[in-house]
Amino acid sequence: MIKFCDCLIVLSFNSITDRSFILGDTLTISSAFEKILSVTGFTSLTLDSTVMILIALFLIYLAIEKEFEPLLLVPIGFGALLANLPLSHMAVGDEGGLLNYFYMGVKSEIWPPLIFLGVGALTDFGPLLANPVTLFLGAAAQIGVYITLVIAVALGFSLQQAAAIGIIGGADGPTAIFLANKLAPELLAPIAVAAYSYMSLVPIIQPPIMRLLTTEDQRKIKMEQLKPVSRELRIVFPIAVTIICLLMLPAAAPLIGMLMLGNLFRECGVTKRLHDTSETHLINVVTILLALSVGASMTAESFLTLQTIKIIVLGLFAFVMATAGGLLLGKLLMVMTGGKVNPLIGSAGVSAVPMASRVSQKVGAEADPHNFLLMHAMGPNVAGVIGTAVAAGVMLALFGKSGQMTPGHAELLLAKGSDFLKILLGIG
Amino acid sequence: MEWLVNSLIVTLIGMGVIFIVLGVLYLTILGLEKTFANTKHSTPDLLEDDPEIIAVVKAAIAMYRKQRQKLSKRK
Repeated sequence: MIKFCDCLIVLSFNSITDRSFILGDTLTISSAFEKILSVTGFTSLTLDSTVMILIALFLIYLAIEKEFEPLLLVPIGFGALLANLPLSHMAVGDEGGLLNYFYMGVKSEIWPPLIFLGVGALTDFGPLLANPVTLFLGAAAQIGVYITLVIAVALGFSLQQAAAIGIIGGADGPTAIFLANKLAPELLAPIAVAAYSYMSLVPIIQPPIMRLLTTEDQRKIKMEQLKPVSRELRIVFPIAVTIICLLMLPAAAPLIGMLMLGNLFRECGVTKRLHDTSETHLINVVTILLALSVGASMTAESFLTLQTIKIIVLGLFAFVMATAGGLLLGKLLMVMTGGKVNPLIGSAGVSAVPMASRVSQKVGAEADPHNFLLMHAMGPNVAGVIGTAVAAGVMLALFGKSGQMTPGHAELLLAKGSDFLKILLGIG
Repeated sequence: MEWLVNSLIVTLIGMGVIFIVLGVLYLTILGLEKTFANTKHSTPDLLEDDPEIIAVVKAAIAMYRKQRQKLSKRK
């Protein structure tokens, strides 16, 4: 029967481009089936790609079922799914593939600054301007970035890679992607996934640290109502930040420049259409492109490595340290102001706007239901965005190619610093 | 040992620069505050700005008053 079915079929369809068909070679049903099977993805499905598909599905599950940063994890997960389905040619590096073109926006540093434009249009710097001392809480939280950098170097990462990993502690996805692409593109996928995953886990990660580092009485501290901020100050602020930051740290120009332009659209009052577009359609479109690009970079070769596990652990450590850094400076400010500052707002110094502020509010309200910290926490929260962008600028200045200082300068700086420390410690 | 020294230097420089930059921003904000101290404060968006919300609130208040009147009559 099989032999009967396996009868000879002579094909000579010139429209089919396969050489054997064109030449009119004989073809059996089984060989035709084999041929069809060989052009499907099943034959190319490997264990690695299967694991990556499962990871992609898990990310989509987390986003939809658990609502962990769904706006990002759905496209990231789907991008990873597309990239790992065999023969789809959708992974980063697949020439001519759709997502490879999208990835050019990451490679060319276009998407993250555009996201920052939208973030700036969405951000109200009013609470920061009303209580400018909270700027320092945003600075203190960056300690998580640098402590993680030291640990990452100890674990065998290069300084560039360690810098890209450390920035996860800044809790700012676009900045993490921007820096990783510049300093350690080979680690982009795990860094982006770790950054966005932990950002969504802020309400779970932060509260235990906040309770551990503060007393009940400290959490009950009520802060004075924020003073109103003039329109002029709101307009001049983004311009002043741009001039000051970029004169001091030109490497941070793409991030801070776009952030402040977006904020100027918001505050100046004469660019309503640009503001509306930046905070809605533009940021949504770019988020889709950026997240799909990141997902497409999650191939088995780049993701299923021991380094990924290390990065996931280091990312969590960076978040914990950043939270602790902000809280400890919050406690210092509390002492310095005679108890006028609730240290809980310090934890909002990690970017993650506005989730970190909501966590400060929630933990404060647990101690005293009449305690409203949300707007007070927004100050350090938006300061954290600036702080993380500045931290990224420092890393780029030290290790990047486009900063003021080239890698040669960085080596010189490190050599001089090393000599200085040796003299200080009396070594040699 | 060199890795530790290098990463510590990066940490010191990094945190130092962040605090300097944000410190300068802090002073700038204080300076700008003084400059614009005499200008009018921006007013926050109030419910008054939205006629639909005002209508809903007014309707709710009217209903509440009616209910109170009914309850007081029953008593």
